[in-house]
Amino acid sequence: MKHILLLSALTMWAAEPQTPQEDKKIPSEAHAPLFRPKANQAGRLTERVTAELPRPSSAAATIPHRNFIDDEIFGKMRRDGVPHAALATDLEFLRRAKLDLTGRIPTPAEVRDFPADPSPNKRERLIEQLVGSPEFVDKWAYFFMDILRANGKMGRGYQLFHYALKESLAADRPYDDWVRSLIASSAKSNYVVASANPIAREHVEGKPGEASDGDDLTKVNQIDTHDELTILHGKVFLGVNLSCISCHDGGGHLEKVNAYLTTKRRVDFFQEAAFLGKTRYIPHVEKSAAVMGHFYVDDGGAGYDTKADSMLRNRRSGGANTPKFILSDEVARPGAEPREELGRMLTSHPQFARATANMFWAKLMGVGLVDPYDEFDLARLDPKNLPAGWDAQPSHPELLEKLGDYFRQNNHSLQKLFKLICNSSAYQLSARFPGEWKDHYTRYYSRKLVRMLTAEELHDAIASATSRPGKFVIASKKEDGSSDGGAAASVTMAMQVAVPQPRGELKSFMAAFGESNRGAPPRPPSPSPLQPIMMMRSPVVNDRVLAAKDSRVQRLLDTYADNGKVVDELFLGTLSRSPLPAEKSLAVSAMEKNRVEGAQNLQWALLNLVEFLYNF
Amino acid sequence: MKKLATIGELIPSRRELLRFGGAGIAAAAAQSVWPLQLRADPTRKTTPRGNAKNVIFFELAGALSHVDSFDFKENKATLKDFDVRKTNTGIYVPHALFPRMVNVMDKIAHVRSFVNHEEVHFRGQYYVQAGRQLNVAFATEIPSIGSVVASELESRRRATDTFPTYVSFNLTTNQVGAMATGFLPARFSVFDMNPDEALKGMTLDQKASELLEERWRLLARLRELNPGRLAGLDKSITGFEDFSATAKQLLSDGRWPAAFKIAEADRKRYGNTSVGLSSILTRNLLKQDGGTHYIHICHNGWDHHKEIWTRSASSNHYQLIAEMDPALSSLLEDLATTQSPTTPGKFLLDETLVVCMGEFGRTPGPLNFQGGRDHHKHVFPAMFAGAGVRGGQVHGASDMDGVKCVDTGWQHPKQPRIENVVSTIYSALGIDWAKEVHNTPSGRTYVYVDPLGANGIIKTDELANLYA
Repeated sequence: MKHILLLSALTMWAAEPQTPQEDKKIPSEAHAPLFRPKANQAGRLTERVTAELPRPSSAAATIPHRNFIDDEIFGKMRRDGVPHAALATDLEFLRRAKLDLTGRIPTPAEVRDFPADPSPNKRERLIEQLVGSPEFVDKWAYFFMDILRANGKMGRGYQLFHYALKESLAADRPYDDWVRSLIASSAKSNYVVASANPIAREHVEGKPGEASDGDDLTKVNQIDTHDELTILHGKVFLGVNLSCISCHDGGGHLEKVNAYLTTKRRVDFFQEAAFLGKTRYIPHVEKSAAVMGHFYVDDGGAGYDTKADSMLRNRRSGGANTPKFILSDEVARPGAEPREELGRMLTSHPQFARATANMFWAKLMGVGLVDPYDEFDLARLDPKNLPAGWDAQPSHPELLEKLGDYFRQNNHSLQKLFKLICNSSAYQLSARFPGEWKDHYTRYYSRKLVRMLTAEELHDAIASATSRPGKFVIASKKEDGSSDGGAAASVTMAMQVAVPQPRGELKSFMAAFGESNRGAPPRPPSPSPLQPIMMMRSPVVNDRVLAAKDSRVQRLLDTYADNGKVVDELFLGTLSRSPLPAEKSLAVSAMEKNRVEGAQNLQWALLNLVEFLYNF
Repeated sequence: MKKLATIGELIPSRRELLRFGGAGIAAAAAQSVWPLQLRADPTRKTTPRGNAKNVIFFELAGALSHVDSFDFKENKATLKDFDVRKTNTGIYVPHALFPRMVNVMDKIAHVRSFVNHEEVHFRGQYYVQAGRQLNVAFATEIPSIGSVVASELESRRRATDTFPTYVSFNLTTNQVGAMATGFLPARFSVFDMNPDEALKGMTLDQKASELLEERWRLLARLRELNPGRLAGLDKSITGFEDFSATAKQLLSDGRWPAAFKIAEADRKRYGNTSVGLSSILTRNLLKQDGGTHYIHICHNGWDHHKEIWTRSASSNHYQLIAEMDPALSSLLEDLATTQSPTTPGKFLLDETLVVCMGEFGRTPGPLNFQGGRDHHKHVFPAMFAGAGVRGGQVHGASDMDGVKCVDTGWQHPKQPRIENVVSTIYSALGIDWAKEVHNTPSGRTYVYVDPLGANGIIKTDELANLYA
């Protein structure tokens, strides 16, 4: 019934007189691109929105402020007169929280029980239960494998690395401690020391010399590898894109792009990379051949050469090679290990906690307070102290600071951060906006932003809805570098996989939905007509809707003689809601002629409804 | 922005139906801008030829060893069994390695003077797909060449066109994967397929077709019966339903499944490999004339740093050549003998520009200590055929050993680059390659073929000699 009410309300708004088409000129803040210089117009938005005078939501008074996030988010909307959606229903919240935190859709039992639970703190309890669960660990390990681009360049080490990530997430290891180990690991072998694998991953193949045995450093371009790691540290741990100044000074290049980076020179990048200057990435040699991916990592090198040629960039332009942390100009203490110094400086800098909190905020809320989350402009964080001609970059500068502080004060606990965000009313708003949506509301978070499921989530949602698990073989590389063909083990869910599938129907399906190949940085799934074709034709879907043994369809047919009951259950298990009466009678009539085929067709149609593919 | 109204808004207008992907999807891509603010640079006048309707880019990803193939140089590693002889067009080719390609040399023009400034695969393969060097700062807004072509050709789509303009095979196997559309709307995205999977998924027999129709009817009825299900939700979701309709339309157009039916004889002649199947499907898609005009075939695996001539190695040169030789040669043969679906008296090859190249060459001379060849960017060749390209010609030359360029093969003293291949492609399709896009998300002007390359100002001319 709720849906019908919504529709009639919608028709009513549509009948209202048109307002001037002002907002056509306002760029979509939801899709705020890289480096749009002045488009992140948090300050200016205020004036525009006030001028347009949208109606304040009547729901405003009923939204409880659960923590400081709500004070900031709802406070700003109130000040600027921006309306917002109501709180999400229990079912909307259940499906959303499960997908966001664990990448899974709810079970039919959960869909039945959660709305019926009278407990006032049931949402909080659900969050408590999901954060830290094995599925949570799988999902966020996958996330880290993606952003650290774990793949065959780690050799066999990726399995170990995946395992270690899961351990860290399950134990809620303080994130700063974890990051320090990723920066400063030394290893006889990355097959033994898990945290050395991101270091191994970034190796840049050199032009091999003729040496046929032992420590041939030329097989890895050592200095280019320092640069790649430095960029990785900047992007993933600090939210700052140092790529630009890895080739040229910021001044004269980035004036329209990033005010902070215009003050940085290429030599500042060299000095940041110089913390790694002595680090050596030495491929293991077996049977006279280097095993690329299997590395010995130590710090016996000579230091960063600021004049060396580069295979990836223009020739280095010279300058100091003493390690100096780019955000604070702090230099390494004499006698201290430079990489350990880097780990210490980086993780104790406020930007580390700020960037991390913002990254997970972006994952949960759909758009970062600074967005994209790895494109911070550090000169534009304080609205009271901005460079001339620029607006503040964060949509909510104070909230950003508070989130960073919270994360640091809570021992860099990722789990606490997740709980904080998910418990806020801001996170729990409905994705359905009652009224005319304006693109710039996005940066106010005035409704929950929708997102398409990732390839892994989608596969697993199909598997869960149909009770037909997948089979992902975990192929390992053998000593000689060849694959064992997955003889060792397999897992049933895509989210449990350490590296993407190499081939086959699964690969085609996953690739169409934006599975990262871990070569390029991950990107959000973007819609393409190949996706609905996959949903209509791929065996990943079509084999699973069949009433095969142990399938959900078959079990329902066996359990219930009443087709209406089968329909109810299929809706619950697939769309996490009950059918409307009209939907139900259609579905039941579709099963009349042949209940097996009818149920299969219904399962197929439910999977192909667009709402199945989205988290909202 | 239009008022969020009723489902009436979701029904595409006539104009929008001509688009691939329908209405409403423009806003769904992560950061697309549309319409583009296009401007021609008055100082850079181009005269696009418009001599081709289609382009096939046959990418040898991982990089073919030029001195062992189409810029043959005898060296210490040359094996006796290569059977190096002159073809009837007068160039030396190892006949034992390319028993089929030698028969189509009369259709092919070789350019042996390319230079790349990239020498690693990721960046090199990006360069080939994007037509420009990777600039990580702006990478997310950069579309691929194929997506630019799709956007340019949209206005030429006929009411009967249901196929995607830009199709690729196995692009996800290379290091870059299939690029997103950057600042272009998602409807210009690549339609990337694995040929083996596509043969299973795109062909529908009578039964499968009826089943799909039945299920689709159920789906459509469910959508109608609950019109409020998307009420108040973001327009990206409604946009996805348009894609769904496009997809259904495609599967229901008999020409699409027909393109995925292949004869056993063809399968054998093309080599029965993934690249062979890609090539058959390429021919079929063009033959069906359903709106596909840019096809990127990715043939990956040429990166033989070790054991390049070891037949027992898990990947080796013999094997990769044995995949490529029947695939590309059969494709050229068939295009040359398949009637143009639109122009009487012409053949598909007459209106299709075929480009074949890797991202760079491989180190010439003796093999390295692992019995392989490493990356070599200083000079490497490409092959061109079709669309009026004069076959049997060789433009440009490398030195005795294939190390450096000694003849650039065109009017400029500097070597041609991948940018010039892109100019040639755009020109053939009638696209002004000096065009600039000014409303990019970053504000940085996007030039179709950017004269500002990584190493300063470069020439952006097309390779006009190909037609001389």
